[in-house]
Amino acid sequence: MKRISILLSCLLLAIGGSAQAQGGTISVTAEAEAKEPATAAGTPTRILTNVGAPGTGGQTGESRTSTVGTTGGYHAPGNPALPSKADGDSMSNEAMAANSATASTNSLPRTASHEPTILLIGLGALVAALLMFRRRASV
Amino acid sequence: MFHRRGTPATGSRARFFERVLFLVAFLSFGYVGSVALDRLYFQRIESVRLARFAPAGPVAQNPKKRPTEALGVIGRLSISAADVDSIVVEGVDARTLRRAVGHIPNTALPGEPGNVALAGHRDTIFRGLGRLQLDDPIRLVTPTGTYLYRVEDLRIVEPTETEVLAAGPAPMLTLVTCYPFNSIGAAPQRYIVRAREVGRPAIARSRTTPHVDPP
Repeated sequence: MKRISILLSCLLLAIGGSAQAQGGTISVTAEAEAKEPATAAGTPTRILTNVGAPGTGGQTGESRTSTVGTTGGYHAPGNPALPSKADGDSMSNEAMAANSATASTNSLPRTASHEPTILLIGLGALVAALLMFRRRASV
Repeated sequence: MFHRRGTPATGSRARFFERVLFLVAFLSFGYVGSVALDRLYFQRIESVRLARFAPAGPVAQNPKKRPTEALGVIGRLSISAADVDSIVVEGVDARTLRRAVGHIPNTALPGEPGNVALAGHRDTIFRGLGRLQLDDPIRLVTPTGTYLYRVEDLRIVEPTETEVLAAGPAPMLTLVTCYPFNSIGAAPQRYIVRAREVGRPAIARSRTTPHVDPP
């Protein structure tokens, strides 16, 4: 029973971690990738603190609450900054404004999806279940 | 205390565990399947929207708006050498990158001077990026026309090397994805494809005059 509980806990933890990393606020992957800041792209967050230095596209010392789940603004030196979008007369305009207002970060976006991990967990579970079924059927 | 194999208690426990494993497998496959379907649906819908804004259409109702503001979609990225054919939308949040290629905010848009930086998942849309070679063509279809690029640099960088997004003297396109391609989990590095613009839209219209339907 103990063994089963431990196995189950590990499995559920692994799945929970992957699923939360997809859309929640806790990210197992982000923790493993310690080099990147907590607001790296792909890690939705509620409170975005703009920490960009003056002239880098970020807004200095301003905290902003956002519910769009957009993180990680990137301003490359030499690229034209997006124009001000104060009118906000459309949804896409608001989304663009939110993107522009997010903090300037010092890392490139994280572009590894969690599907392969989840698929692997599913395959492992299926194989284990089939093996158990076969073993039980043969007894 | 463990029961001996074959006792009824062990059998029922095994059956329970087996069912849990089947459930886990079902949920995992269901999640992955739903993500794939969502991506297909999103790509289809946005393709239709993009097609409506053909370059030959009339001028914009609100010329102050940029195409991305009006559409929410930047264009379609096609790289035959890497089997990439995807809609490009603004942003690099998790949801956007699950569905399409994302335009990195605050980098140039196609047609603007600077560096157009796009990011995509290494295990879905940008899976074939590792097959790209120098001089391979890249096509970016936007509401203002089609932009052609040629690959001029392939490199692997650390996630902190944001200099790759810097603008050069000529219009550039930079594709960013995680590296290594075949690893599972967090990616320690980034794969960068830099391409120079070699062709401007055949139908040259100003970026500030896209075709936008009246609200």
